[in-house]
Amino acid sequence: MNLLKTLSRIKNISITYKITISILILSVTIFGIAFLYNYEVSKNLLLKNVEENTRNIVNSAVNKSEGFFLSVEKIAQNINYILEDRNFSESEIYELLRKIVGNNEEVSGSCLAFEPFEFDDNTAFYAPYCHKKEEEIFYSNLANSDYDYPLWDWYQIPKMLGRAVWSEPYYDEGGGNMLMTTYSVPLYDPETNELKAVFTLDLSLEWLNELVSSIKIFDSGYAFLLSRNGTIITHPHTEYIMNESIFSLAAEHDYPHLREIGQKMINSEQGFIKIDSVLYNGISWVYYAPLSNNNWSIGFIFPEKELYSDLNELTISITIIILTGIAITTVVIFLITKRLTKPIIKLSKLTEEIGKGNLDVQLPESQSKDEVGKLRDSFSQMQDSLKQYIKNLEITLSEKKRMETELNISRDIQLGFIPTDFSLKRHSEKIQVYGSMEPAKEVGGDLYDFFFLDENRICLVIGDVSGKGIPAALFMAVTTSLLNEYRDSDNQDITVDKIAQRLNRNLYARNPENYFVTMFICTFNVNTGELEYCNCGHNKSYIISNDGTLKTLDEVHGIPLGVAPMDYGLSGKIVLQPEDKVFLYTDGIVEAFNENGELYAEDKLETQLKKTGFSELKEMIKSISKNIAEFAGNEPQSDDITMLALSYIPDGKVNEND
Amino acid sequence: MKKKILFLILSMIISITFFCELQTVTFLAQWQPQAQFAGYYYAKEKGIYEKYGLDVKILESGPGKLIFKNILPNEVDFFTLFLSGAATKYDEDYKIVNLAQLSQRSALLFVSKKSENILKPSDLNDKKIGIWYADFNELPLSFIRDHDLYTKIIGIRSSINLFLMDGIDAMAVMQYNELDQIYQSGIDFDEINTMYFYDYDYDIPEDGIYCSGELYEKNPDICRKFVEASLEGWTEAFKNKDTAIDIVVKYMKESHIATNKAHQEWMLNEIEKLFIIPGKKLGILNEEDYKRCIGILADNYFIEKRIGFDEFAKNIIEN
Repeated sequence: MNLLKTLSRIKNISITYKITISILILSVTIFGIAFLYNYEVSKNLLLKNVEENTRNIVNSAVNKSEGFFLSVEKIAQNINYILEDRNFSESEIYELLRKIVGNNEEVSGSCLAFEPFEFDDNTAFYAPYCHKKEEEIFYSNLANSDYDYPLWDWYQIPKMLGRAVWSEPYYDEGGGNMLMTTYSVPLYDPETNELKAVFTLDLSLEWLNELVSSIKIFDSGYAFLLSRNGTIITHPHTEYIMNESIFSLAAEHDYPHLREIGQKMINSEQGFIKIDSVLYNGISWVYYAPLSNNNWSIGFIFPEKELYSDLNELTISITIIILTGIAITTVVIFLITKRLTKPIIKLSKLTEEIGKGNLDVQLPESQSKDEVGKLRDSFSQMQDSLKQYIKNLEITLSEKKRMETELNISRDIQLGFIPTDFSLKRHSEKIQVYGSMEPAKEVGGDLYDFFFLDENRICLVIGDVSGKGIPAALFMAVTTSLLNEYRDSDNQDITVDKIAQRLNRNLYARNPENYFVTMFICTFNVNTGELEYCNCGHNKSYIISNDGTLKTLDEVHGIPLGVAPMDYGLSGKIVLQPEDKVFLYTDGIVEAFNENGELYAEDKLETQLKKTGFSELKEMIKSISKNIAEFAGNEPQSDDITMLALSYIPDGKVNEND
Repeated sequence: MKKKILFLILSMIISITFFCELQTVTFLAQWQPQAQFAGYYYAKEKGIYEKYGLDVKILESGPGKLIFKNILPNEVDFFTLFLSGAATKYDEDYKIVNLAQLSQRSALLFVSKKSENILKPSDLNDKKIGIWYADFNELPLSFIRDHDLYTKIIGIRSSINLFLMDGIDAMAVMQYNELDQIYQSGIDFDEINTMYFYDYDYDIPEDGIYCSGELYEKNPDICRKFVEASLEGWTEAFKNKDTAIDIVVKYMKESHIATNKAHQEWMLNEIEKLFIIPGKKLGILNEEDYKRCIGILADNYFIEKRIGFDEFAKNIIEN
């Protein structure tokens, strides 16, 4: 799934490839899992069947062998009764042994070996023995100087253990390659319970060898027989027989697992285990089961590859079918996806064209009603809408352009109302005036003006019309024109409150839209240094003293002009000290914002006034203007910024530069 | 004239045979072919004896073909014996001499199943102990007497089956032979306890090369040659163990003796540990070892006389 995510993240791969690869991965995964599961289950089933089968075959061989050994054991038991019963003469014993060997096909020899002096008091060792060779029966006495029979395993072991014992396999004494085993039964005196003799029956292992060798499963599976000590009794490698034990092979090939198996086998355990060794064609399976008579063990081994050979062939066929299926599926999906995405690719190319501005591109005819068809229709609609939108936009743009032109003209006209020539007709040696107005983007409603009311009084006006745009500009124009009646006429009895009263009346009378203007009007008497002022809803103004202190003119004498038909009779008065400066402004200064949304505010203005209060008026105003611009940064100017100032130098030290 | 010519021809034949023909000697190992005697087979097969001017006939050995029992020392030129066995035979007036001592250490031990809990000699009390019935039993029996043990001795011919089937509680075995046979019968080393003789002042070396005193007196030179060639055979066999084992297995097959490479490999490795001992020289019988052996045998009445070292041991490669 991560791969799918990664795939979907790779943006450059086309949808066709994404889908094809995703489906390819998915199908390989699903088939892979199903396939492995099937393989494992089949393997286990197969193994189970084979185990069952092997178990049956080996167990039947085990049963046959056990039965055979048992039949010999029974002969011995029967003889035991006879021998224990009474003492026999030499000839009677011979006759008995001859009958046993002669009458029992499986028995090839039989001996009755006496304990020293048990046969009679004069004979130390006596061991009469009959054996069969090519149907002829031979008689001998095993007791001789070269053959200390009491020391031989067949005699000593049953004697010491006090029970009948099957001997380890051995080769027939008479030469030849016949493997033998001997069943030895200790015979006790019924009265004294002391050992009298050991009775033996020799048995050829040919039949067992044939039986074990006949067990065949698969091509190279084979059975083998181990003695109680782990000695190999039958094996396809004849050189192993009687030479090697399962433990010597384990030691020679440094293979501890084989030793463990051997230990289990000689401990009469039964099992089915996997072993891995070059000895047995790689991975192989071993089934082993014990012979209960003598603790021998039959093992059966077969290579795993033979067990799974049919399954593996089937697996290869299934793999080929699945891979072919996946390959075909992949190709088909690739082609279908490619066919499906073809119109999308075409659309995307056409959209690129549209993006470049070519709106008249012809979209392909819709061939189907599926999602792609709908997409094409939507594109077509979008194309039409775009065309319509651009057409409208063009009209709007030309309209806007026209309006902008008109607005620019309006602004020029508005700016025309504002005096830009600051040279004074008289008293220019005592006073100086400077003002500036930076309109915001739109046409605004700020205004300032100055003119002599009479011989000695100069009147300074600063105002701010409510609202913005052309209506405000027009209202400002009206206000300015109303001020014109005082310009350059002798108005000795006119005071600031009267100017305000008159302006208010006139503006109110021609103000259907309820515009208003805040205004600060002041008159300055050059001779007396008196400053009389009337503040109609405007912000406060400042007097900047020679010693750098600021005085605030914060009295308000009435509401803004043009709002209501009310009387204005109040005014303030202050006498300016030489080198005092009067500074008037509109709220565009203190309400200037910076990019963080902070206000320029009065404290910054006051700081700036204190810093530049000694400068020339023009310089002072320009530096404030610059400071505001720096403060605002990239934040667009939202309101007109208007300043007007007057400086008073009664000693006539004013420069005539401006 | 005719006689003269005949004499000439005869003397030529004699001189040719005298100078070119190898001297034929016979050799008998004290037991059937196995890696215990690898050095002799190796020297024979690889022409080492021939190099020394000897044509060694290795006689078939094993049960029924045993020195003293079946073949007398004057019927064979060279033979091997355990030191204890040789000393016993010497005491019986068999005039044999030790030409060279190969084993420098005892390989004898008592082995018992862990369940018997036999850890020290006194634990053998009241136990049934298997000991070889005919030969090689002097030392185990002395050991039991020396330690005042009350045990039931069971004579063993050669097999370990009685031990494996728990017919006896302990058994005297050779480290290089029966110990591995027990392991090869599926019994792990951690399932048994071992009691090595050398840990109990019974470090009596074993295999040595012997000949009759008569042969030694008459032809010490040929004795020296045989010993030197045999020692070279041993040294080479230890260097080329795989080849040596192949040779041994070949001899064993010829004698129809069941065996396998793993066992012979074990045996050769163990023999090497017995022969090559730091501070002792291969081929030399150490006088102290000899005296210890004689002491034990005399104390336990296996011998009556304490034969002098020089009389018995010739250490032929030293002189």
